[in-house]
Amino acid sequence: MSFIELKDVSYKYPYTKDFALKDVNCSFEKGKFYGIIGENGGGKTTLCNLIRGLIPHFYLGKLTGECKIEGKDIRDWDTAELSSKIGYVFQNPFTQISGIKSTVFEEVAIGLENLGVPKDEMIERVMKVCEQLDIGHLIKNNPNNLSGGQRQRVAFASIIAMDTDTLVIDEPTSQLDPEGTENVFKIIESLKHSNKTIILVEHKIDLIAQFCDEILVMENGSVAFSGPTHEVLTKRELFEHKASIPEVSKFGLAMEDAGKPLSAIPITIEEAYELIKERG
Amino acid sequence: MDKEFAYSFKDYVKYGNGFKDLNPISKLTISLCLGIASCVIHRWQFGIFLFFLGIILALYTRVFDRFIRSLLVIAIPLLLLTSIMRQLQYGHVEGNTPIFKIFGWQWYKEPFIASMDIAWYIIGFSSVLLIYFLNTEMKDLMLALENRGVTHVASYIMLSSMQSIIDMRKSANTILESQKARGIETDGNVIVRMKAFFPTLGPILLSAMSGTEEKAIAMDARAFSHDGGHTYLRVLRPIPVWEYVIDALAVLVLIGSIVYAIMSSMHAL
Ligand SMILES: Nc1ncnc2c1ncn2[C@@H]1O[C@H](COP(=O)(O)OP(=O)(O)O)[C@@H](O)[C@H]1O
Ligand SMILES: [Mg+2]
Repeated sequence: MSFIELKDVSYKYPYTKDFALKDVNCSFEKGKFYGIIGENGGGKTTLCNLIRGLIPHFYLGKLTGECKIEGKDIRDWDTAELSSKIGYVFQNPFTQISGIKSTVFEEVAIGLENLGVPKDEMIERVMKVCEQLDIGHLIKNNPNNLSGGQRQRVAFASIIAMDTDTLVIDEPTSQLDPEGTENVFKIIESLKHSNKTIILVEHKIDLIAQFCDEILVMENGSVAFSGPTHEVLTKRELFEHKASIPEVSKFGLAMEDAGKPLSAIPITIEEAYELIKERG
Repeated sequence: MDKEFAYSFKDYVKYGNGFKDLNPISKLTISLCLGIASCVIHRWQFGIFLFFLGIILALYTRVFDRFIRSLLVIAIPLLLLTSIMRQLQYGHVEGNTPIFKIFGWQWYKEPFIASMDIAWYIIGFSSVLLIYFLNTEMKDLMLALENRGVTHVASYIMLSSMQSIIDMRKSANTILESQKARGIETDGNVIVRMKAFFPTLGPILLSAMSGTEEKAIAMDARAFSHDGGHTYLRVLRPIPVWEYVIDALAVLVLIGSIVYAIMSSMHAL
């Protein structure tokens, strides 16, 4: 049985006409790294909200179908319990600051305070995470006065500090410059090696290609494609869809069209390099 | 990273000032007892005593500037108004003792003292409360209250409302600035400023309200409602015995003031 399992799930936010999720079927296994891509308004954030139990516990609205976490229906989960199992980094950095702490260091510690982590351990963990997320120089700053990118990293840090087995991360780099993005992905890579289950929504397809075991493509509230990363990203249909695929995959497909195919469609620069080298 | 700062959390919350480092609740007890005593005693002597006590504490805690500025705003109009009103109302009551003349206007002792009693008991009360708020971080007060059993939910509501007031003021300023940049008059008399300000209220309140919902979710992600023990990064110093002694003295002053008030009213009968 999968860790998270959705069967024919549809969901409509309150006071809206259209379904934000339509007949979604998918599952997530423990320890794997999932990427969710797709156009804006496709339902990626809504799917995250559901997995984290905000739907139906916080967002009311109409939920049908079956969504199970560890075999237990999402409706039966206690959100407080879910919050200590599944970490969730939101898309909007501006509302992710608590507003009740006067330094970044205290801000990052909030989750640990709520979880009842002993103080000395808390200090060590916060220091480590701040180091990791490259916000060490900000620890004395007031979180309410940070820029969007800084807030995003602080929010990310406060969730990582909680060290949950599962992480849902919604567009963590939307406010970051290329260097900041690089940094966040280094962290995500290190999380990958820590055996966590990770569900990452991200537009930067090259990064998805590099890190994810499996991919879901959301479109109009449904899962348009899903499967192992390599399989999904080299699909011709996906290319013909609006969905973006890595430039090197486009290149691979174009080579096929030109009648000079590589032995496989690459999804990362490294793969492309190997494939081209092999052809000589 | 500033490791020294990070490790400073291992210690109790400390400001390095004897008064500031008092527990927020005992500090509040002291200030309230003295402040209420000032109202109960209702004598200018005690008010002036608290005023000077306030000045000494303000100097000791390095908040003299803000203390004196805020206090004078209350004190000067209060002193002027009450003394003039009293003279006008009760000035020429039979048997009053003349004290001095201002531009030919005779002032009398009894209403003058009565007005000083009123003005100074308020100034005394304000002094101790001002000293309290200038020397107490709200988060410390809430932490102290949480230690006494107030839930962290109440404390969160209190602290985040204060932050949203700050945020709203910030966004109001931003909007006013941009209005100014577009050539809309924002400076000038009250009417002009009101005209510029009112249209900004809608968007400010809306953004504050929509923020609340998302903030609630963000707090939930930080296990806000997780039960099973809560720990604190900042921990207040355990209250030493001498601090209880000061508290007790303040309570005694309050009791003394009540006794004094009862005695003097009986004496008057
Ligand atoms: N809080 C909400 N209330 C009502 N409708 C919403 C809300 N959040 C998202 N939606 C709607 O649900 C659909 C899916 O949105 P979303 O999940 O945010 O997409 P994505 O994250 O892929 O950009 C959109 O049509 C959006 O307008
Ligand atoms: Mg989204």
